[in-house]
Amino acid sequence: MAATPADASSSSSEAVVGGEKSNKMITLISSDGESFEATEEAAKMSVTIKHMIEDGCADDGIPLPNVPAKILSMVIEYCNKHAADADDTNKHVADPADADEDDDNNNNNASAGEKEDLKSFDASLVAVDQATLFDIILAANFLSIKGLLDLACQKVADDIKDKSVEEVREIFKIENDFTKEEEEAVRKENAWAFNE
Amino acid sequence: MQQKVRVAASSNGVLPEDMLRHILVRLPAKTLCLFRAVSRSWRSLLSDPLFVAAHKSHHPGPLIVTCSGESFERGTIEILDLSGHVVKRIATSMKNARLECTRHLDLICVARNEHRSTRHVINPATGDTFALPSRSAKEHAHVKKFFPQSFDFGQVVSTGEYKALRCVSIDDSYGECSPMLCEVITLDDGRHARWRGKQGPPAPVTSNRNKSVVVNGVVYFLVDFLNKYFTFCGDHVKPGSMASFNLETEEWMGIVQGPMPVCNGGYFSLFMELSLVCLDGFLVMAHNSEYSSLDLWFLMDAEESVWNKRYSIDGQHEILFAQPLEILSDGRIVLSAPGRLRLYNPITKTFTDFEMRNSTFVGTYTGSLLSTESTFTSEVSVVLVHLQ
Repeated sequence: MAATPADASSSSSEAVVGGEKSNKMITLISSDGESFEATEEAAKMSVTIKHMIEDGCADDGIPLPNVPAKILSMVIEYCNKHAADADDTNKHVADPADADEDDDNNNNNASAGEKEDLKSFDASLVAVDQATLFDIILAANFLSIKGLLDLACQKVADDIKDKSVEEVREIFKIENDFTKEEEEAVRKENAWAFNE
Repeated sequence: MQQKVRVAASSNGVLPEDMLRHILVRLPAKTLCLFRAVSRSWRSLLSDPLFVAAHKSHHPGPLIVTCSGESFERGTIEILDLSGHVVKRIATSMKNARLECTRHLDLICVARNEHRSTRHVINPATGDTFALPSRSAKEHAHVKKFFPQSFDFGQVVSTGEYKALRCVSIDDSYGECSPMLCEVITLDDGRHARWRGKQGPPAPVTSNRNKSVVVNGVVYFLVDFLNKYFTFCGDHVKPGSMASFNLETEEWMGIVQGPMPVCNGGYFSLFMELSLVCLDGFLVMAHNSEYSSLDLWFLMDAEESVWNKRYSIDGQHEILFAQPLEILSDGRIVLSAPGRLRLYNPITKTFTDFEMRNSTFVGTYTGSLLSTESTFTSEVSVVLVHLQ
């Protein structure tokens, strides 16, 4: 990744909106006992973890019995990537000295480039099999990471949008519990959706 | 030692209902109506009023409504999204139908072209249709000459009831005339709905398309300054003024004066140049001034008649016959024009066009096509056929 002006100044002591960031590392433990490290900043993208840190429960590592290792590593990847993005945005906002037009253009280009980068990162993160996708949704929900939950849910929605009723039953492992009359009635009431 | 808890860690392909909601709320109404056939629990979830409301927030719309009314054919209503894509088609039982007064509601109103007292109000989500009775109110049973003129319908804000209003002429003279009558009907009364006589308007009101609108439960009618010269109190009619009726109290309120700069100029041309519309919750007078710009005047204070010209769209060909319909959350203005839907960006001053076949009578729909509830249920004699 090309260095952006923001990166160059990441270690300087600029006034950053939101107060100081610590470089403290947090240990997260998956349901199958694997340990993962993440910066506090990234970890705090999870509101659940953020509360645990603030309540002082994080010192010996945070056990996450609901999240298997495979999923946890993906979640952390998401948080790392998006925490860095939020950080860069703050830096752009917090540097009013950059009134120079050239700098502005550079910042804008970097933002546009970063947005594209983020979009393709997100797309490849959720380009996984359905079972994994469902697991990501459960984890994002448990950990309260809104961006990841929205991303994964949107992917599932996109995947099922053009599916038939039968296909949807297969995907979600649902049994058809309608009586013949009931099923006919539903199809009749919603006839406009079936005619195509 | 930590126990390995794997039960909740993996979905095993099964998602809990609240996660399902998160996913399904993102899908279009048509897809969800299809998915109602998946299972009983899905049918229940996808018909639940809370879900329908959440879905509506996720898909704010509005949707565009058009009606094709070929002379000897039954009208077909089409509901389109903002790119001109047909989402739903509904066949009406009315021949030669034209769309009327369909703005910002979850109901559609069609009238018969050559006999406009024949009107149906339709719920496009459920297909329920209400045929407005034509018989006059019992208070007016004695009136020999009965010419219904202006019509509009809207919703009472506090109760959510739907009411329609019509103003009736009892003579067909020009210039001076007898005061008009007024009647109101509450659609929610269903089979028992009857027109009720009310105090007439303070000035003669007009019946043309786009010369009336309902905003926040108040009906505004452009006063007929084209054909009539006096109000019913004997005052001169001021061009661009409006009579207003409160749907809740069922009473006429004061006459609202139009914006000063607009109200000068020849009566005839001004009459053709003005139309009323509701944008962003405001009453807006659209003035197609000398066909060189479309000015949108927002009413800021009805009592003091304070107006604010918020937009002025330039261009001759661009705005010819263009009717503003809605302002989107991103600031773009939706306009209907012959053969197309135009989205105008007031900052870049550019248009994005989408083809729209039936563009003569256009309205907007802000309800939810997922809705299973209806204000009224169909009369047996009026049956709707759902097409695609």
